[in-house]
Amino acid sequence: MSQVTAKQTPFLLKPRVKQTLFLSLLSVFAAIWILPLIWMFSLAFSSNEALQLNTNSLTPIDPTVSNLVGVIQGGLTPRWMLNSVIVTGFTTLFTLVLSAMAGYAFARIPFRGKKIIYPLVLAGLMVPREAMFIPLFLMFAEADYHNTYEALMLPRIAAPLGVFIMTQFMAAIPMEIEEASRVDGASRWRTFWSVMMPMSVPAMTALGIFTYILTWNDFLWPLVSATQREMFTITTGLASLQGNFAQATELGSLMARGVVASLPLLILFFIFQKQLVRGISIGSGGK
Amino acid sequence: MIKSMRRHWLSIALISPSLILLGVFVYGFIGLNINISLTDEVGLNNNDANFIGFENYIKLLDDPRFHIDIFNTIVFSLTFIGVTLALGLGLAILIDSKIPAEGFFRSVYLLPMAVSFIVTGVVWRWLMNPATGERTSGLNLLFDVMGLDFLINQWHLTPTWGMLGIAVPAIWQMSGYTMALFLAGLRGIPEEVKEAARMDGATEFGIYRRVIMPMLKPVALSAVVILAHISLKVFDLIIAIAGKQIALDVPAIYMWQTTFDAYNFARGATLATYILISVALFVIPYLIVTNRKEKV
Repeated sequence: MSQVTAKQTPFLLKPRVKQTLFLSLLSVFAAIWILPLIWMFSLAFSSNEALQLNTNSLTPIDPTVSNLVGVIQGGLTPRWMLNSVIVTGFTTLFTLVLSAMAGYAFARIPFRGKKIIYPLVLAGLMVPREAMFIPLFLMFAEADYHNTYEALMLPRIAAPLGVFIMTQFMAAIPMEIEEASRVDGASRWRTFWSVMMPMSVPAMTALGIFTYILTWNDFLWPLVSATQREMFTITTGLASLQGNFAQATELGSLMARGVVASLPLLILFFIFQKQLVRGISIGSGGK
Repeated sequence: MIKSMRRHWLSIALISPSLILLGVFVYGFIGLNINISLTDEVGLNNNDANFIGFENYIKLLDDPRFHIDIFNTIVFSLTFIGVTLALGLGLAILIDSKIPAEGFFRSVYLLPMAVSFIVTGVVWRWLMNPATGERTSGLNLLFDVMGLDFLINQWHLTPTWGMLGIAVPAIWQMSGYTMALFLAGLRGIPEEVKEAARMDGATEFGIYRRVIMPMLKPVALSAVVILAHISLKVFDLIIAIAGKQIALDVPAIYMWQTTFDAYNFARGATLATYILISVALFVIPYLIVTNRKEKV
């Protein structure tokens, strides 16, 4: 099907020429896209002294791992990392469980008021969280509850995106599968737990990785809520250091922090990218 | 009868945790926020705030700083959404044309999505270093070496149009995501539809224009809403690139400074409501359009 005649291709290109042209265009863009990350890694492995003279190399200058070691051992970075892992891990877990439950109910159980409630969930999807921040901040301040993990997690768990993705996915699971299990005498709860949940693993993986990335990279709420340095997440911690590096004196260390902050996500990305693409597709209302 | 009770009991049990969280943390707090915006609440633990109606809203409309914010947001949004859409669609079409190593290209373009705006900002701050002369570095140096001197610029320090510099890393970060959206859309178009158009003698270009583009409209619409959602509240990227004592003001930064530096909660809440309204302008028409087609 790809073999179209020259007459039908745009600009009268032969398929081979067209493919070469497309490939080279894609490669140019790929190079541009990967460049900033390569540069970050290269600077992270360069010595700070060498970087004062030249910061423009795409390979490490005077290669060293001391920046990385410094980040992992020194300062509060390990603590921030731990905070991020705790907050992100629990947020993802709660989001998955709650979204799967609600998704099943919306997709499969008829109940009164669904036609009104579901659009409200969808609308919640698009509410910018800035619109909730000030009362949230004041409430947590009044309860003296800032600088806790709960404060960092709670506002995040109200996750309409998760409900939406799970509803879309579960609605697409063939009715017959569920009916077969009900005919066998399983209760609805059992059907949900041992039939629908296992079948939803692909969607839950997609939602999980999505939630993990978004929560890990969250900035504004942690910035507002966690004011003690010990409670910073890796994102706010990194931002707090950026200001201290007004000049390029410790550029290598700064980039090393960038590497440390993004490495866990980059690894996850490479493991789960199929699921991530799928999540993007479900989330946009596709299949 | 008992059976239907049980059924309802289960649906309530399954849905209520999400609904309570949503009701409290989204809708409840929006309400509280609007409440605060209608008062003159300033300072922590202030219990004698007075109701002053829409005064904060009217005052902001006359505030020159807010005018700059709106201008900057429009410049950023138009550039960011426009270029990201074009790049995302272009890359998706290139990748969809049965190219080898498709998976590799897709990963590379998507990769920046896994990086936070803060890390993006840290890296791009140095790539877009506005320093001149001896200390020229990053992209400006690259342009210099390549003889493209006319491209050398001040990036985020450019007077008036500094937001264009901020849009560059944002485009870098979100184009891959947009590409994935379009790619899913392209893959969803049945081959028979294209085949039929080919049989009717349409050129490849004609097929794209007349058949594929119209079918991609819903995807494009989702993409615009998602990107607008990001651009209308852009914050982290500016903080990471330009710092917060800056000429590059947007509503989210104004809100943040006025609330958490000056403790002017009422004005901050008013700004938050304006951000909410601007997002709603995109979202409500979108929800109406999608809800019409979709049945729960």
